[in-house]
This record gives sequence, structure tokens and C-alpha cells, in this order.
Amino acid sequence: MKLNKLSVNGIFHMIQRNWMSFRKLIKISIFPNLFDPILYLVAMGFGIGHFVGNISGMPYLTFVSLGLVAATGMNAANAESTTNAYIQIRLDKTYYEMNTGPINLEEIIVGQALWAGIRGTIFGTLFLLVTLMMGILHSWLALFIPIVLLITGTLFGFLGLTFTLLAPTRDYLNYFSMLIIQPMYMFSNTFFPLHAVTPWLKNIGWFSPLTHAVLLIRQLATGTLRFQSFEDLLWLILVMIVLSVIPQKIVRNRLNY
Amino acid sequence: MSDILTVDSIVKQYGDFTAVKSISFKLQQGKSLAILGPNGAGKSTTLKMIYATTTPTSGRVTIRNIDVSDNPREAKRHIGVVMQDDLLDTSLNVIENMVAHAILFDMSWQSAQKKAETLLQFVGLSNYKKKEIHELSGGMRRRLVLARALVNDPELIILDEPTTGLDIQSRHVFWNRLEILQKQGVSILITSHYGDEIERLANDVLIIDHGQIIAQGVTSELPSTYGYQDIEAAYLGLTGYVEERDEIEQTVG
Repeated sequence: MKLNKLSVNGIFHMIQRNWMSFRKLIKISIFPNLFDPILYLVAMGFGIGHFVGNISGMPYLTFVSLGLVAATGMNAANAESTTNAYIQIRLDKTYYEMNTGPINLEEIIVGQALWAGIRGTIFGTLFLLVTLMMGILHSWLALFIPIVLLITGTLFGFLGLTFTLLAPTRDYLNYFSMLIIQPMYMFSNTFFPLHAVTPWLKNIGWFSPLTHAVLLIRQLATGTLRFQSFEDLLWLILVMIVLSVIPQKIVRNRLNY
Repeated sequence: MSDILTVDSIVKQYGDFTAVKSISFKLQQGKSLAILGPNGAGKSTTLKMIYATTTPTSGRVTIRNIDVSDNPREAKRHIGVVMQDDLLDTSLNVIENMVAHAILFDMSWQSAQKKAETLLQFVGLSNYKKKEIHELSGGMRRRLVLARALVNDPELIILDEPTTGLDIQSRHVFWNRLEILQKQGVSILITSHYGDEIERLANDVLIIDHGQIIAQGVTSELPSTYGYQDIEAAYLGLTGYVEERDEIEQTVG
């Protein structure tokens, strides 16, 4: 089966390979991936939440918890497509080795981004289970949250891979995390509602994919889907498709071993 | 006998620099060909164009009559590659490295496991299948890379300086496995810096320098054709080493 020049089998084999590696490390991966959002949950949700009333029609603890579900997915996908991918690309040269077999570099890139999406879904869903235990989920529509996490994670997979392919050394990935990912984490409707802040910040926040993922996840968890929710979903899918083109275009030039 | 590999006037340019200048040769099924040349002569670039990780600027490579540039996916199904570096996935253990490569050829999980076990036995690593990569010696890693290159039962195996840096025992073990493959009818394309390796493994030899072929022939006949005692002497003489040595002697006095 072929999609243009991409083979579905090739993409699937890349995901299989990452799964082989991940299943050995899953137990030790859980703690670092969940510690950060739990820390924020305690500090913001329980700490600051004590002094804040309802926000966007829900308790602040609920508001922050659901924002952190999306952010956890983003961070897990980002780690996979930057640090882990860098090791595979530059140190182990796994992509190059795989490319001696019947799989092309574009399939490897798409498979890697999808794997980042799967990883984002796994850890985002684990944090979602934490919110379930806290009694925060109020709608069966929450069952669709993993789909939003998969799309968001894959989007950040393509974005992270673009920067990883362009990064001359591993240190440059810190700039990406510091200047792109960390601001998104803070200013994407995660900890405060964008509609209530100064217009310039609101406008910048609109461009963050995490903003749209957070809105969707909150609406699914609380059963308050609106027409605008589909616009957010469409926005995420379109941006994911646009971002998928860049690493596929540059991978051959960047991996000229 | 049919040709497994045809290389027709391939050129590789990087900007103004021409790494490979119109190289042509053929390799018959079941035969072995060695490419000999100094560092930077264009050996690895030539191999990369054959196993399709880089494309020729001009010229054509076919494997089993399949154009490598037009259909790399299909061409790669007929070959196994042992690169200069081991390039093993350090997040996977020995058998997982084998399986991870085997599934690229659309093998089922079970078939890949079974094939991996058989090949690890072939290269003498069946007792190490659960070991992590960092626990293997250099010789073991090279044998694992050889086993990995055989998962798809290739008709042609391409080896880029496969025994560089290995101790004498490991080299002999490696050669022994390649000789078994030769007897099974597998064609071999190898680059090497070692005259003894080439004399032992290759039917034919190409000597290349500055991106072009400067001598070629049957391995046992080439030295006498060019007036040398053995392959190593022919290689040194034809690539200009003797002249350089004379210059050094004159300089030192």
C-alpha cells in the first residue's frame, strides 16, 4: 500500500522499532513525564487555586488540570522528537542504518512524528487518569481526548523533528525548548484564560497549537463542545499537515552522512 | 552467468568537488569484487551510490536489472550492507537489533525472531542474544552487523572496510563466514585496505584513486600485469606511495 511516495508499511515499521525501544523503558519513563505536570498541578491547582474562584465556568483546579493534560502530551512528544530523535539521527545514526533497507527517509520522519504523537497520547492519557481519580472528568466525551492528544503530539513531533534536523549540535535543542516550547506551555490557555488577558498576548497565544488542544480537551472533559471546537480541531489538523512537509523536505539534505 | 550489479559511468559531485569521476564495472552473480584505494579515493561514496543512500550526479546503477535511483526500495531487497561504522541501536539488545532490521523487509515478528536466531548462530553470537550492545567486543559487534545484513537472504552483500580495527582472530572469523556465504552463491562487493583480505576473498579487484579506476583485473593476475609482487605492492605503487616515500627520503636526506 502506498501513499504517494510514502509506504504505510515503512511508516509502521518505524513505529514498531520505537515501540521495541520504548517498552523496555516505559517503567522508568513514567515518573519524569508525570512529575512535572503533577508538580504544576499541586502548585497552581491546589496552591494558587485556593485563592482563585471559578474560571471559564469551572473551578481553577479543573481548569489547570485539563490544561496540563494537553501540556503533558506536548512535552512527551517534544522530548521524543528532539532529544530522542537527536540520539537516533546524530549519535546512533539509526535513520541512516535503516535507510540501507527498503524504507526511505521520509517514511522514517513520518513514522517518528507519529511515534511522538503516540508517546504524547500515552503520557497525556496517564495524566488524564490522574484527573479522573480527582473527579474532574464530567462527560463521556472525555473518551475522545486521546485522539486530540495524538493529533497534538504528532504536530509537535513534526515541529520538533524540524528543529532537530536543523540543530548543528545538541545544545541548540535547549534553545528550541526554552524559546518555543516553554512559552507555549505558559501562554496557551494552560494556567489562565487567554480571553481575559491583554489583546497582544491573546493574539500570540492563538497561534500556539497547544491553545487549541487545551480548549478542545477542556470542552471534551466537561461536555461543553461548541461549533468553535471543530474549528480548533481543524486548525490542529491543518497545522499538523503543513508542519509535516518541512522535515520531509529537509531530511535528505540534513542527513548527508 | 548473469550480472547482479552493473555500475555505469557513475559520477558524484559535491559542489565543485568531484568525489567519483565516471566509474563503471560489473559484478557477476556468485563472484566477489574488491575495491582498493587510499582514504578519500571515493570508495565509500561509490558504495553509497550502490546501496542508494546517496544518488549519483550522473550515471546509473542497477541491481538485478533494477535501477537503484528509480526504485531504491525494490533494489535494496536484494542486498545486505555492512557499513564502515557499526551503527547499532544502543537502545536495543543484540537480537532486537536483528529483529528491528528484519521487520523493514516486511517479515512477521515470529519470522524475524526465527531468522535472527539462525543468523546469530551462524556468526557465533547465539549465547549473546540478550546482551546489550555496549557489552560486546569490537569483533562481536562486526559479526552482529554481518548477521544483520543477512536477514533478507541477500544475493549481494556490500561491505565497506568490514575488518578495519579488528584483531587477527576476529578478522579470520569474519573472513571464514564470508567464505561460507561465497560457497552459498552470495556475491560480495568489498572495500578494504588489506591486501591479504582481498587476496583471500575477491575474485576481481579494482584500484581507485582520486575518484577514478586506475587499475583492474583478476586478483591473482593484477600484480604481475602491472609488474608487482602482490596486491599490496601493486596498490602502493599504483597510488603513488613509492614516489612519496622517495620524496620524504630526499627531504630527510
